[in-house]
Formats: sequence, C-alpha cells, structure tokens
Amino acid sequence: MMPSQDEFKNPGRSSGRVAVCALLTTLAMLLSYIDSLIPILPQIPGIKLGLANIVILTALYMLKGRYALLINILRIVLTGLLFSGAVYMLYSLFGALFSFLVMYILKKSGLFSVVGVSLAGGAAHNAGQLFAAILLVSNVNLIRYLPVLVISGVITGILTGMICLILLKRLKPACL
Amino acid sequence: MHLKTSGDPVLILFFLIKAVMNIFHEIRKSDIILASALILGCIISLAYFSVSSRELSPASTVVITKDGKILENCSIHDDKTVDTGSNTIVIKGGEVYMEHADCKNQICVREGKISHAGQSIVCMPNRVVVEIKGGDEAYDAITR
Ligand SMILES: [Zn+2]
Repeated sequence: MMPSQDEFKNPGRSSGRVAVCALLTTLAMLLSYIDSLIPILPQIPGIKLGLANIVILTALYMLKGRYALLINILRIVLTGLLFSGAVYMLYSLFGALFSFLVMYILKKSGLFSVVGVSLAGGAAHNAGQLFAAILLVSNVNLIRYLPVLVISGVITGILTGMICLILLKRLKPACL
Repeated sequence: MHLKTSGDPVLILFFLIKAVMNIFHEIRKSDIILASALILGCIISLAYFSVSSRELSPASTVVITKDGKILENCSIHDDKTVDTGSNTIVIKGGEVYMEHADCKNQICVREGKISHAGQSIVCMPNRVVVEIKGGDEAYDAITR
C-alpha cells in the first residue's frame, strides 16, 4: 500500500477529499458531455464511448469505493439536470449503478487487471441501460439490441481501461 | 541534446510503441478470457436473432405501442399517418418512418425508414415503439 493513498484515506484530511471528489465529479461531467457529442452508431441509441468511466475507474482504484460511487451518482444526476432530462437520467443511472456494482465486485475479486474490470463495466453499463429501457418502454423485443450493445461496451471498455491503466501508472507517484 | 532527440518523429514513434507495449504487458490472461467469452456469447445470440427474424422475413404488419399499450396494428401496405400525441409515424409504400417527434434527442427521427420484419424504431423519451412484424398474414400467404 502506498503511503500517499493511506494519507488520502486518513479521515483528518476531509477537506482535501472533498476537493478531489469535486474535481473528479466535474471531470466526469465534462467527459459525459463530450461523450454525448460523439455519436458512434446513431442507428442504435445508447452506444457511447463511456469516457466518464475513466474517471470512475480511476476513483475506484485510487480512492475508496464509496467515493467512486458518490462521484458516479453526482455525475449522472448533474448531467441529467443540465443536459439530457429526467427520463435519460433515470436510465443512465440504472446503467451506471449496474456497471459500478460489476466493476466493484470484479476489482475485489483480484482476478482481473484494470482493463478486464473496465470492459466488464462497459458491457454492464450498456446492458443495464437496455434493461431500464425495456422496463420503461415495456417492450421485451428491445432485447434484440443486447448483443450489439454488449460488444460495443466491451470494445469501448477495453479502450477506456487502457487509458486508465496509463493514468494509474502516472498518478501513483504524483500522490493523488 | 535531449530536446533535439525528443523532436525526432522516429523516436516519438518508438516511445509510443513502447508505451502501448507496456499496456499490453499489464493485461492478464483472465481479461482476454472475459472479453472473448462476452464477445463470443454476443455473436452466438446475434446469429440466433438474425436466423429467427429471417424465418418471418416478409414484412406484413406494423405495430405501434406507447407505454406497452397497442395504439395501432395495421398492414404495412396501408398508407396512413399515425399520431400518438407526441410522435407522428408515417406508413407509406411498404416503408415506415418517424416523421416527427417532440423528444429532445430526435434519435427516432434520424433512424430513417424501416421496411423489414423484425426492424423497429424506438423513441425512448416518449416510450413509443414502432415494430414491423412478419406475423400470420405472411404465413397465410405462403400456405395458401
Ligand atoms: Zn424520439
């Protein structure tokens, strides 16, 4: 365990933690917004790069899990209120929470590297969103989109996982 | 000296390749197994979905639902316009498209025309689904 991480987890330094959480939330919001501007496959709604996942994943590895969860929820609620509207907020929240749960469990298992955790998170995010959409629209036939969404989640998850891997290497000596 | 060499494109390329190789070095066997298992599963289910939709390929009926309730169930050859209040769907010449929607993202409008059984247009914010089915009519035509 790095001394810098222990220092960060020390409850005496709560103001620093608030600052880092706020910074990461802003960064995640910015990346979510950039994400919404880049359509990969406009025919299929829901396929996104998932750039904000870089921040969530970094937070999951560098901070305690509950801070990563807090940043994740704040990011979705704030971008929902600012840009996308309540309905979209609801189902991206569904995807984000499911993805977070999967990433948290896989990270805890210690079997996978950041890339493995990230690609599972990407797949889970898209699957979670689709399940929310199926509930919302009450049409089971939407399940046909599942394979395409999971494949795209895996591919984007591998990319964001690689970026996260580089980030984590650089951030460790920099004492986040 | 250092500044000079860092500007060399060959060196930059070298360092880039080295950085990428470093990433691949960190990827574990379990990551690759997980990724290939997920993708394989998806390809199998994609194949299954495409086979099952081909079985009923001649498009026959258009079903429009809102919140899961059927608003319209008609032949694809009926030229008509359906207004759900939030969305306007046009059925014309064996093709179906979303002419207008009051949703924010307009994904459904941009989806364009659909004409094959199994295809659908979804307006997520308004919870409107337009589907083309190859149901009983097509089946009857073959057996007759
Ligand atoms: Zn729409």
